[in-house]
Amino acid sequence: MTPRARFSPLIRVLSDIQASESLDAEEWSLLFAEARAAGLAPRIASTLGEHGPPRSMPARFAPQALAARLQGEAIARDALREVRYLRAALEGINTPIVLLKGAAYVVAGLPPARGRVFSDIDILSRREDLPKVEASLMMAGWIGDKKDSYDQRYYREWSHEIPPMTHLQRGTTVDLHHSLVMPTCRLGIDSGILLKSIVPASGLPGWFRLGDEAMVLHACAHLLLNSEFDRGLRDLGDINLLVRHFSGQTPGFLARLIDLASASGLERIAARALLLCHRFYATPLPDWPAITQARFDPVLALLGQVATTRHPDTRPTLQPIADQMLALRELSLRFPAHILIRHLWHKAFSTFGQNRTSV
Amino acid sequence: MTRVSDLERKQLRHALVTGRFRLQVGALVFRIASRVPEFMPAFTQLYAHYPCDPDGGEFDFDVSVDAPSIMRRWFRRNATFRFSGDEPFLPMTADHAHALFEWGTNWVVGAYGHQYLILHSAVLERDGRGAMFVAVSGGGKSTLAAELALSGWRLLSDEMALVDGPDPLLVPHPRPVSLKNQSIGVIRSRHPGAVMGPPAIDTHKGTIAHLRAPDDAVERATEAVRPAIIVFPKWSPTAALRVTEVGQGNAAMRLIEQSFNYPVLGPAGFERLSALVRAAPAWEVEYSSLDDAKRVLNELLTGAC
Repeated sequence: MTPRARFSPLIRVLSDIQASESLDAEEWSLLFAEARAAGLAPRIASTLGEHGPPRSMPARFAPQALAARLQGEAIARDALREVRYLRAALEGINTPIVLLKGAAYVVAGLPPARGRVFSDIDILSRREDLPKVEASLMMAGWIGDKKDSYDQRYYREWSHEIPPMTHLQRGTTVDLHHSLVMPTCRLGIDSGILLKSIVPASGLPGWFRLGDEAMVLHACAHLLLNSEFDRGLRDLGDINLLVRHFSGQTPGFLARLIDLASASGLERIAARALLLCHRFYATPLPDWPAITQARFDPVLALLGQVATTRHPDTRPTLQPIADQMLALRELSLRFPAHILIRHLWHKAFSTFGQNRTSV
Repeated sequence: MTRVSDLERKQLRHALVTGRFRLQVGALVFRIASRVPEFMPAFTQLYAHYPCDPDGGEFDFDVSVDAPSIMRRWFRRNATFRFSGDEPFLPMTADHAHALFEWGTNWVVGAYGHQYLILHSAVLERDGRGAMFVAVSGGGKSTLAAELALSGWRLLSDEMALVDGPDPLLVPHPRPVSLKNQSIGVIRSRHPGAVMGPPAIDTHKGTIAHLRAPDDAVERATEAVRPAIIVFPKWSPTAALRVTEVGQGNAAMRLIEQSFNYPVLGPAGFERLSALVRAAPAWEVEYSSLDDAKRVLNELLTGAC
């Protein structure tokens, strides 16, 4: 660990891109390293490129930024192509499909699409249509990854998605959802209300995306309920860009966001996510009691330790512990107690039996 | 300019442990960190002549080879490769720390160096003319690269052709040449003076030993060359020497198969690849003897202008 590097150039630059002007050469290096670790390199690179490269950027980083931008463009291009393949595969069954997350941003041309690092395509269909959709995907070459009968049961009975399906030739993965959050989740979230807001996805007749407010709330719920914090800063970046974009487009966006959060049971989750966005991206906050309440929330303090820079030089010292605590908390929210005990029992004994394979 | 061999053991060790160590390989600078005792001897031997900086400074990629957990520093010792904190591979035994470093670092360049079109190929140069030796499984690309590098050709890379554009230009990334199994003995017996690092025995690729990149390869590591020929080498113990011309279209298709990032570059990748196969005629060279191969490669390179 380098002695100087408690200062995080990434955190500095995310909330104020102008701050890049004051970085020295080594801090520029660390900025790119941190951005890679957070899955933010393409996004930072395209933001930096917007007004031409900053004067303070050493020559070494022009090729780095170019490489990252190309990577981002390739991801968006691949996602669009994959969506076309999916559409062709599902054309015959006449079922409404909702695109979620990364692919939805790309198809709708929303700001988080630019330079977003992701690989899986997330789609949602009605629960009763799942067998049809799954069968059509299999006919077109996608096969389920999880063979283990416990995993099958976990996904089929409790989860909000079926096991991920990977295409035999292209190796691309699709996550097929039937709900936005785990139906077993103890928080009592009504994702049906969010789904009522769907709007047609541009250029894809018969396909939909979530309405603006629901899209933001889904991003919040996904970040806080899936314990995939290694991409936390990227997800907060998505929320920040969406909030700023939608607020600029239609007056009263934040007020409608608050209403929908209350109606769907996502108040605390949305308040925490917005506070984190504000901390890292200076996202404007609505005047909302839930925000005032969440400010001194211990969970928020933990989240601030994990949904931040993950680079070994600059990450908070307690990050690994906070990761564990939040993963446990999330697990305890995911299930009612009787399923949770069964799940943990199974996980404890199934891992003992497995041998790790080496390189 | 400081070279790795200029540093005292203690100084190098300190720089590696504190993360202040920088290694320059061609256009790229690596920040390298390691506490694994097995890493340093192999590294100092194979990178002795590389420019470096023990006091920090800017870098492109930060990599480390370290124990995966504190316990693994003492019990059932092994090493893991990290890149910006991520661990793209499973750990390996501590004896293989240096081999892991070589694989990991190749992976980093291949997975992130999208400013170049990157092809799985050795690159060498003679008289200002670049030759690519494209990887074909069992083709003997690395053996050929080692042999040529020790016979007056300049080594640009034994693993990756970094193709810059728009006029195709091969950018050097000289690193130790990775030799497998029998190739190690072949090169050792033909070139008894060649410096090789400690062999990594029983890796998933068999036994691996690295040949130190020749001095001029490191000395001229920022001089790019124009591609003059593309070679698909094919070694077999009994083959008679045979040289077959490969058409531009066919060569392009075979190069795409051996590319690390062709799809990432999109249309620009296609243009750079077409420019490459237009600039450099391609040949398939079947051989059993390295001397035959060397002779015919010299002829092909002289013939291509």
